Amino acid sequence: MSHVIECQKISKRFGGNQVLKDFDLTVDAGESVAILGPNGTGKSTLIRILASVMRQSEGKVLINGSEMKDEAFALRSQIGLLSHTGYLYTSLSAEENLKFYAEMYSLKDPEKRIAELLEKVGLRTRRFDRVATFSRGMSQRLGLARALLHSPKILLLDEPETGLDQEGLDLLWSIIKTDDPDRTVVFTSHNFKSTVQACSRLIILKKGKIVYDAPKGDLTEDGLQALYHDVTGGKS
Amino acid sequence: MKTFWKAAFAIAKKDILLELRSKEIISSVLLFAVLTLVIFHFAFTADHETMTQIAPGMLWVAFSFSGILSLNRAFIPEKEDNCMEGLLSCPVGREAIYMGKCLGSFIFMLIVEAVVIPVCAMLFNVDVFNPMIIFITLLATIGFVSVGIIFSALSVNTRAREMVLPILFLPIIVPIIICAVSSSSAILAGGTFEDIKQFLLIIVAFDVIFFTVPLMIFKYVVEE
Amino acid sequence: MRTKIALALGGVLMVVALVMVFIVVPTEATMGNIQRIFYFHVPVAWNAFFSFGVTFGFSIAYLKTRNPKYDFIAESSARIGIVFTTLILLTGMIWAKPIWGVWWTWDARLTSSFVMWLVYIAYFIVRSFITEEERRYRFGSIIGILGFLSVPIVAISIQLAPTTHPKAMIFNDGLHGTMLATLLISIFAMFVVYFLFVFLQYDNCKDAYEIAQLKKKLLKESE
Repeated sequence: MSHVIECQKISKRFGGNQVLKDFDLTVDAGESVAILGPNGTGKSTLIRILASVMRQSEGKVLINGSEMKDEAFALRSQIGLLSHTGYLYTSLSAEENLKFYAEMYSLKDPEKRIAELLEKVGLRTRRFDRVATFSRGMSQRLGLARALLHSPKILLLDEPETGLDQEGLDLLWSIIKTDDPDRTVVFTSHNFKSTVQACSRLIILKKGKIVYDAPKGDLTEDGLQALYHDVTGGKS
Repeated sequence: MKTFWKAAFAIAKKDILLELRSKEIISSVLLFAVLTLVIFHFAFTADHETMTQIAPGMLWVAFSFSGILSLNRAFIPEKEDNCMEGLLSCPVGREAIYMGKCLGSFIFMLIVEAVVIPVCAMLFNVDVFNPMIIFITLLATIGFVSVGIIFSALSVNTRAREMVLPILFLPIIVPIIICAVSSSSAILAGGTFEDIKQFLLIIVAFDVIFFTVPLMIFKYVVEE
Repeated sequence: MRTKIALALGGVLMVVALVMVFIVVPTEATMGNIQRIFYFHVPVAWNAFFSFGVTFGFSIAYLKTRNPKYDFIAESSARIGIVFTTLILLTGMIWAKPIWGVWWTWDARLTSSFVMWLVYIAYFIVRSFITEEERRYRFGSIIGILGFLSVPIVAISIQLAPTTHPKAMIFNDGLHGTMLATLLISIFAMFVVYFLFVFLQYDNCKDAYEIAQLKKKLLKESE
């Protein structure tokens, strides 16, 4: 039985900047993995490498046992990605954005899935409006709909809470959980509250290395905060 | 292969839709192209014979400058809200993204040319609205756009991007301009297909080289 | 070490080449003394093309491997290439004034050298616009590849126009024995000088890179 995500000794350099070095990680089906750590520690880089929008300098990424490098096409369609931006064209309407991405993913029955998702993220009535008129929370929800469009088995989120209030963030997480509760999720965050609520496993990074990796257990928000400061040396 | 064209057409369609929404770029680019012709009139008031000689040159100066203007904008929508990363996460090759952006800009340039050529023919009373010249222009536009798109993708990620595109783009498209202008002039001077065959061959060679190589290396522009 | 060898060899060869050019080789019958610039002009032209070829090769190597050293070589070579191209244009103009009576004509070879010069000037200007190192190397490589491909096609397209540039004479044995020897020695001397400059420039790039690395490390530690 192969892992859903497996990183083998991945390194990433930007010029002379070593962001990740010999990084190993395995994620199993149904896990919800939170990755925390100070800024500039390689969280975003990791998510981008997993989504194959960025290429690692060394090492391998395996998705369901196949190597990303060889089968990027097939594997990308199993992955949904949402970052602090929703990857939306602001001059197009919500529906046009989703239709465009549906074509890019070669969806079989796009109308049905688009209608279903717009309902789920609560934007059905605003579907003909331009994204430029949307609030931060609305466009982030539409971004989530875009990431879930092709019903990916893996969802990658890079600081999805940016610009959202707690209410907006809770809504985002409830949509993720109701769309498919068994989905494997890997996300980075700075928000302890939603991290505790959403994750089943917790990883803390420091300078491109894993310094803490354990199941969440019965950790509370305050417990997490104390743990985080303890492990990273106080800086967030 | 099917997904390649599907994705490329989807991207081109999306770009056209975006442009139809605002109509900002097409209107300003068209105005700019026509203004170039007007400036030419004041810069060189000449008799009809001289005008016939310089008309193809005027056309390509107008195409180059207005082309730069529109190519500079080609990747702005992908830069806003970081959409390029969204495209990269889709299950399509980077080649399809390049192809799609090229198609969009190609159609855009065709619209510009479809306006500028007849306007030039009317304003200066020269016979540039002629099937052979249109054919040459179409052929040359392929290489023009495919070079422009890769440099546009590159320049959007640099400081001072408005300056980066023209200084890279103009020297590289020199062969296209030379061949398109020389062959169009030959046609206006009463030449036949035989007379311009060599120029057309170079344009085709340019199109092939400067479409294939950027297609191959586009991924290095967009993927870190 | 390699720099010293190149310096010694280049120095000796240059002296030999100068002696050949100014003392040994006979004065050309129609053009007179000005023709001697040819022994400088042609080697510089060949080496300019060679340096941009090296830039092309190492640009591909950089994109494949992402090893910054390859970009340093590509950049160093392009820098020398620009110096050589500038010299082609200058020596060409010095030769053209007495022979053609003008400093410049839009002749095929002149124009293509000039366009080549513009392409690589743009290469350096654009690089200077990119602050992030990795991106600078990557974009530099892309320009290094596309720029080099444009050189022959510019030359061919301009060639269609009638040219007054003297035809290459080496291959149709229009060249006197001593003249050919002088030319070959000059080319080789210039070739060694090219390597000398590339070595120096490469060390320069590498040192600058290492200093930047150390600075970053220090900054990180002091945090």
